[in-house]
Amino acid sequence: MDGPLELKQVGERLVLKGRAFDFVELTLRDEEGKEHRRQVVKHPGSVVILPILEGVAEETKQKKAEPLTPALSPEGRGRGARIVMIRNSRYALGCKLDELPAGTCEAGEAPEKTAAREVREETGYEAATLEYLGRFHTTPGMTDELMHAYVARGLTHVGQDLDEGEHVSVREWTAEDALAAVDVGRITDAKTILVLLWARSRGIL
Amino acid sequence: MNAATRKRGFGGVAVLALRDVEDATYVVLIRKDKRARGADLFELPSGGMLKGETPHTAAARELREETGYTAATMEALTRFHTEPGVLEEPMHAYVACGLEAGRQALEEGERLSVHEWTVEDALAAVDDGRITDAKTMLVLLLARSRGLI
Repeated sequence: MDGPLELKQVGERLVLKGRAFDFVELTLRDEEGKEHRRQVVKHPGSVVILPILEGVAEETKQKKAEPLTPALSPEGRGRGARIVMIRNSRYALGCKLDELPAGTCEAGEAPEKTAAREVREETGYEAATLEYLGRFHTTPGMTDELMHAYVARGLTHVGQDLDEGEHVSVREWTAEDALAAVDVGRITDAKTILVLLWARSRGIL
Repeated sequence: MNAATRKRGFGGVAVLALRDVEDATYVVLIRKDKRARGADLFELPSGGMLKGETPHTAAARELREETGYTAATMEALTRFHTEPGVLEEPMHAYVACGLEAGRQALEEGERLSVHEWTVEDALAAVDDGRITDAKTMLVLLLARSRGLI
């Protein structure tokens, strides 16, 4: 996947130390010795989580004698599967977006720990299992941010724990509705679109 | 387009350019020196819109500059926010067909090569992690979901 870089990095200078990210300027040298500068954001990495509510287990616990609801396939997939999303105030955009829970890794924090923490803080659900879906570069032209995607299952409601000044409302969607919203362009958050389509492509939704 | 005339803050474009050769359909990918990430990677042709440009004209320009291709048709696929916590402008995705080859026009200090993968291989690469660029993965999966590839 990775090939050689054509320009050689010969310098790196901190331009701005941000609260969450550092802004640095790289000096690159080409084959003829000419120098080029690029300004980029250094990122500690991040996570996005697809929380799947397993209605099957709960329903069968409560009403053991009754068959599974017809809408829900035995694997908890398909038309009846429900997912947890958040509605996030995005001040850069001046609007609210429907997104999957996500967040930035704290210094030295393993992505799986970040995922467990963020899903609990943002949605109020604690996950019994986190399954690794994959990783991707969010915006490689401007940052080295690598985002790791997880599927969270076995959810128990424990209550949200938001940062001060954070306003996040939690909504349950059927997988069908969320995928339809992706298809018509109503969900516009890239990580959310990508993870929903990826999960469907892998047979998870 | 040089750095001085390329302004930030007008949003971005990405182009899924499809080329039919006999029975196979190929996706045009570029391999770009992405210094921010510390290595290069395969992605769709893309870039920032310039002042006064529509997403459609920006998509046609980026396709031509980065791959040399001009397209007979360029249809809007969707738009999405790549970094909604930080960036205000969305990225517009287009599907380009009827490609005619021409010359690349790269920026100074820009290094990229053009690659053509079959649709099947590109989709497999999304699944197996050979393609890790978010916009490229998103657009390929959405195009498949819409039955375009």
